Amino acid sequence: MIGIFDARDGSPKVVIEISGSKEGYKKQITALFDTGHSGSLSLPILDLIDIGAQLSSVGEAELANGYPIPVLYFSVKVIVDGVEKQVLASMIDNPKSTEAICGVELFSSHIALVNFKKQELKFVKAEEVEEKKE
Amino acid sequence: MTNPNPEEKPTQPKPPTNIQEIIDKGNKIYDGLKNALEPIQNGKYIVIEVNSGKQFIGNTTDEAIASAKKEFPTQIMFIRRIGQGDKASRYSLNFNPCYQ
Repeated sequence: MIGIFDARDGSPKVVIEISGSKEGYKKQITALFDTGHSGSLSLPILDLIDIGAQLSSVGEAELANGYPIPVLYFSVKVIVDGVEKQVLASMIDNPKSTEAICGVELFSSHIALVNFKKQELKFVKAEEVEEKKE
Repeated sequence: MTNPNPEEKPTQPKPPTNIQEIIDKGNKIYDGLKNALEPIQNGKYIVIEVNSGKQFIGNTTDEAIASAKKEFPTQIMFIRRIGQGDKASRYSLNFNPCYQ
């Protein structure tokens, strides 16, 4: 898992590997890191198809005008620090949107260090920081 | 394969065949549980298997679905946040935009 600042748009991003039901197939993606995203991951529909992600659950989300829309959640494996983690990825159904978004749930065991001045994004395991404090 | 006795009604509940049906059933079950869940469990996530009505609660979506999938590995289930539901944005879902 590598944190970067994308020079094209100045956004903090994370390079991760994802996989679905296709045996042995892993895809490297660059996802926008957003602390306002309460879930683990949102993936464009084409990425979900590419890795063969399977539909796991459904729910609803509310648009700004109060109108509810269905949300599809897929089972996706993500490699975080060499460890494979099974997460729920919501589908970005806008075909124009090709960028994945990763949320805070994916990094729940990490501390994110964002240096906007130096344009750096680093992830440190929470337990390592706690050990150093002790 | 044809049913040897077409007049015999199936004993198992028919699983929902479309997404909206799962959402509608899930919301109906959730509404019945609302008073017991809110506000104590607000912010947690609930997964409901809509045929059995069985619920699984977790601090995160991943936690809630992981326990539900142990019992219903292939079933498509209903998921929602307890209390205020998730918001959708122009980028994605479950997401409050902050880099615009």
